[in-house]
Amino acid sequence: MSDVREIIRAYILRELAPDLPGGQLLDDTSLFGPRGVIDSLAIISLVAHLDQAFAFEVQAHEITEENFRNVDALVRFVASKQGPQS
Amino acid sequence: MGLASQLSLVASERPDQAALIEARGGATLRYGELMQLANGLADRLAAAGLQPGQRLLVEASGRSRTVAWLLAGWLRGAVVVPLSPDLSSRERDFFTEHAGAALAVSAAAEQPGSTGVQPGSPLPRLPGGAGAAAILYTSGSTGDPKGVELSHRALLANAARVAQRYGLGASTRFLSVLPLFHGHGLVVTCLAPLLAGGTVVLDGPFDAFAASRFWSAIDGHGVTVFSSVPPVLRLLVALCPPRSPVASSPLRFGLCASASLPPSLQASFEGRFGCPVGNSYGLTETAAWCSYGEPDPQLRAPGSVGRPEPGALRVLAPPDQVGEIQVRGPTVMTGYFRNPEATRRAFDGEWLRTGDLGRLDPEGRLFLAGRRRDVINHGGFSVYPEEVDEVLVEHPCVSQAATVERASDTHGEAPVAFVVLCGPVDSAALRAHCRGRLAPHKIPVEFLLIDDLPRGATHKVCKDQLRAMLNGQEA
Repeated sequence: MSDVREIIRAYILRELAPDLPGGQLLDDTSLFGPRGVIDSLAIISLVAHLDQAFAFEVQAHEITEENFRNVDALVRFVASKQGPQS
Repeated sequence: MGLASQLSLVASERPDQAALIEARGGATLRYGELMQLANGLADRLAAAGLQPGQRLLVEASGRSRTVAWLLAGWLRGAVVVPLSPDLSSRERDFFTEHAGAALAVSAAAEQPGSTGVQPGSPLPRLPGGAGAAAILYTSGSTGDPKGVELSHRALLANAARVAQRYGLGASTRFLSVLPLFHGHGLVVTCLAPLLAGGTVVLDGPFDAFAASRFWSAIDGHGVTVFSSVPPVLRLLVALCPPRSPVASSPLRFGLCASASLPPSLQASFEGRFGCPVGNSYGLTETAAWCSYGEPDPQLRAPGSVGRPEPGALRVLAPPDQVGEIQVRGPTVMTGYFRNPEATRRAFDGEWLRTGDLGRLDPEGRLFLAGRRRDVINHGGFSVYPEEVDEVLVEHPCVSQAATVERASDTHGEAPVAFVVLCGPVDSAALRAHCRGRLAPHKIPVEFLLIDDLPRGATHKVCKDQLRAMLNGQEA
C-alpha cells in the first residue's frame, strides 16, 4: 500500500501541484476546495492517472469528496477498487 | 416594482409550490415558506438596525438560506452585496469597507437554527424599480474596485428576458450549479426561474465532485433546464459515461455562458449526453446576459452566442465586420459603486462599452471575436491583472509584475504572472503569498521570471510582447 501512496503523491507533486514542496503534501492535506492544493478541474487528470496506474476504471459516481479528499482517502479508494490482495 | 414585491406576488399565487430544493440533502422550501423565512430574517435585519438603502453583505454559500437572506435584504430595502465565502480576509475586509456595509451575514448564519425564523410582518417600504438592488464585485482589494451596481429594474428586466426567451414557467425545474455572487448564477439560474414561478434546484457552487452529482441531480429532481459554464461541461464530458436520451426525462436543454464555449466542447457534450446546449453572452455589467443563445442545433449558427434584444446591442463596425460590442437598455448597470472614473470610462453616452469584440451577421446573430479590455476570464470568473500585479509587488522580493492570460483547455483562459525579482523567492512562496490575499481563481497558474518588463514609449507594459513570449514558450 505504501507503493500506492507514493505513486499518488508523486503524481500530484509532479503534475498537479508542481509548486508545492513535497513536505507540504501530507496524507491529510486537502486536495480540492478553497484550501485545496489542486485546481478542481485537475480531477480529470487525476482520475485518468488512477485508471492508468492501477488498471481499473473510476466511475463517475465514485468521484466524491469521500474518495478524493486527500491522499489517505485516495489510498483507501484504490484499495477498495483493487479488492482483497492475495 | 422591486424584486421583493415581485417575488412576494409570485409566492402569494403558489405558496405550496416548491421554490428551492437543495440537491444535496433534498431539503425543500416552498414559496410560502421562503417568504416566511425571508420576512423573519428581514425582521432580524431591522432589529439589528439595517436601514433601507444601506448595504448588506451576504456570504453566498449557494444554499437556500442564501436566497432567503438576499430576499430579506430586498424586503428591508437594502442593497445586497453577495460575496464568495472563499475570499481572502483581505478581500472581504476591502469589500466591507468599500461597500460601506452596515451589516454582514456570514456563511455560518446560513445554517438552519443559527437564525430563528420570526413571523413575517409587513415592512414599511419596498425599493422602487430604479433603486439599487445589488452590488456584484468583479474585482477588489486594490485601488480600482469594480463593484457593479445593479438596479431592481436591471435584475428584473434580465430575469424576465431569460424567462421569456427560454420559456420558463411554473413547471420549470432549473438546476443551479453556479455561485449566487456571480451574475450568471444569481440572475439566470435563480431569479429568472423564481420570478417565473418555477423551482430552483440548488447544487452549487461547482466543485471537483460536480460530475458525480450532476446527472443524479437532473434525474432525481426532474430538472428541465440547467445553465452552466464551459469548465463544468468539460468536466462532465471527461468524467461521465455517455447517456442515451431518456424518453421520460423532462430535461429539455442546457445553457452555457460566462466564458468562451469552444464549438468542439459544445458538440462533444451534445453528442455524449443527447442534450442540446445554447451558448449565450453577457457581463456582470449587463445584469448577466445580453445575447441569448439558441439551444436547438437546427436553429443556431455554429459559433454564435445567440441574438440580443432588438436595439439593445450594437457593434461599432460595418455590418458583418468585427468591432467593439456595446449594450444599452434597462439591464445595464447603474455604474461602478463609488468609482466614478471607472464608470465614466465604461460608458459611451447611453451605451456600455463591453470591451469585447464581435460581429453581428445579417440575421442579427452575435459572434464573439476577442477582447479589447484587459480582463482575464478564468473559467467564467473575471481576473483583473492589475489587482494580481499589485498583490505580487507587495512581496518584498518582487519589484515588478505583469499578469496576462494564457489559453487553457480547461478554463478558457488562465492568469500567468511575469515577475521581476529583487530577492530570492520561488513560485511556491509567491503562490503562498497570493493565497492569503486573493480568491483562488485570481492566483496565477504559473509565475515566470523575467529580467525586466517590456515597456512602450509611455512606460506602459507591452502585454502583447508578454503574450508573444507565452506563445513562444508553448510552441
